[in-house]
Amino acid sequence: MPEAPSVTIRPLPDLDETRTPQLLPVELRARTAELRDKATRISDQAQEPHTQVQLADLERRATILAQQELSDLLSAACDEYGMSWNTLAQLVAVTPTAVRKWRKGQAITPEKRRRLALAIAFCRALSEVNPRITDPALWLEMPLHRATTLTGAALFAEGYTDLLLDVAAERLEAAAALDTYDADWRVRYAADDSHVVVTADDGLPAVVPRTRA
Amino acid sequence: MTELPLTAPRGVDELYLARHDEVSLARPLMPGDVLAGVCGAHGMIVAHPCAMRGGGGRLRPRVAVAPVIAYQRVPLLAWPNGHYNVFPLPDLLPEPCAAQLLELDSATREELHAAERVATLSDYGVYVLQQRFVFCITRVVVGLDRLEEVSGHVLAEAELEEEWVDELTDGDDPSAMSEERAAFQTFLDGELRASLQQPVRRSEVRRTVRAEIARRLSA
Repeated sequence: MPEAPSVTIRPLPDLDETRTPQLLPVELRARTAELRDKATRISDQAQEPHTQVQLADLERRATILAQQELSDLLSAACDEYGMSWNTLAQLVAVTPTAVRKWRKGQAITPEKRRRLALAIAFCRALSEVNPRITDPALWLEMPLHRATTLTGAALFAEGYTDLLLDVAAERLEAAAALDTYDADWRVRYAADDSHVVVTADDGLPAVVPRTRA
Repeated sequence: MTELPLTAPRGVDELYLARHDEVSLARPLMPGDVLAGVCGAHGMIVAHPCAMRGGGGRLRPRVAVAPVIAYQRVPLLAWPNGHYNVFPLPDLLPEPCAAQLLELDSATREELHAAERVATLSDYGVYVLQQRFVFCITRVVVGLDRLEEVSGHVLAEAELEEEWVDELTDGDDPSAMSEERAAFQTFLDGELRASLQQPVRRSEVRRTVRAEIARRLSA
């Protein structure tokens, strides 16, 4: 019988070297918590400068736009975005009659011109921060949350542009933005959850109690 | 379920679209319009925007109107808490007044066309009127959002018709305005009108109508 080849077999390492270091659950929890806290701190630190930069960019664009003819600004709102005059009036914080007078050639105050320019700059920014927003006028006219009647246009009129951009970019939940606007929004601006709209037999919409829908 | 109070209007300016000499003749007659010379003195149209017109957008022979009566001044914040049978009309006539929602009358379309409009309500104002009217006769509160879902497309159409007539006429020739109203209705017939019923397509319809106005202006 041939002699078996001589093989050098390395000895097994000590047990300590093969075992994966095991973290105790309590230590693991502490480490992940630390990581989350760190991420939150970084996010908090970034929020303020990001908001400032975002608003400064909006102001810069509004300043440039405000140099345009009034007719061009109105055309941007109505032809480019298909905005209703009522919504535009709400964004600029004037009556619809004031907008009608501008359309007819009446002068606009510098303050309102700037506000009009800001509204258009905001619409442009909306599609940039979230390319899925293809219809800024619609986005502004729709309720921000299913539990309220408050729209983006309403918050814009009150000057909450930074919150709206964060909601549009999906960095902030709409409910959180609404909490900042008015802690009582679920009651004060509640949507009607008792009724729904259905199509009646004559083909026109009708309001019915939710239970019958 | 959330308790839903009647609405306290946010402000008088948000309630009205226009008053007195600011009222545009180009705007079609709509619910909430207050007219001088109907119901004895002043009357407010309260018919539903769909129910007050028949085929081709023509007004029905008679339209429901609420008489405007002298009434105490009602602070906006007090609207949800009483005065359920009226729709107060703040800062409209020299004396405080309101539309009486329980004693309805009707006016012929000829009367309405000939009457002087002293106020038109904003879309928001129309929904507040509808909410109070429904509550007055049923004691049911319907949210403004649901009323907007039901009537929003008609009010959007009214705004576009006003813009069309405003841009394509001088605004003082009834015959020319009537022709342009008919032209607008013809242009809107079919797919565009159906699209207006979908909120997601309204801005697209507005762009289309405005492009047509521009085309007609340059023709």
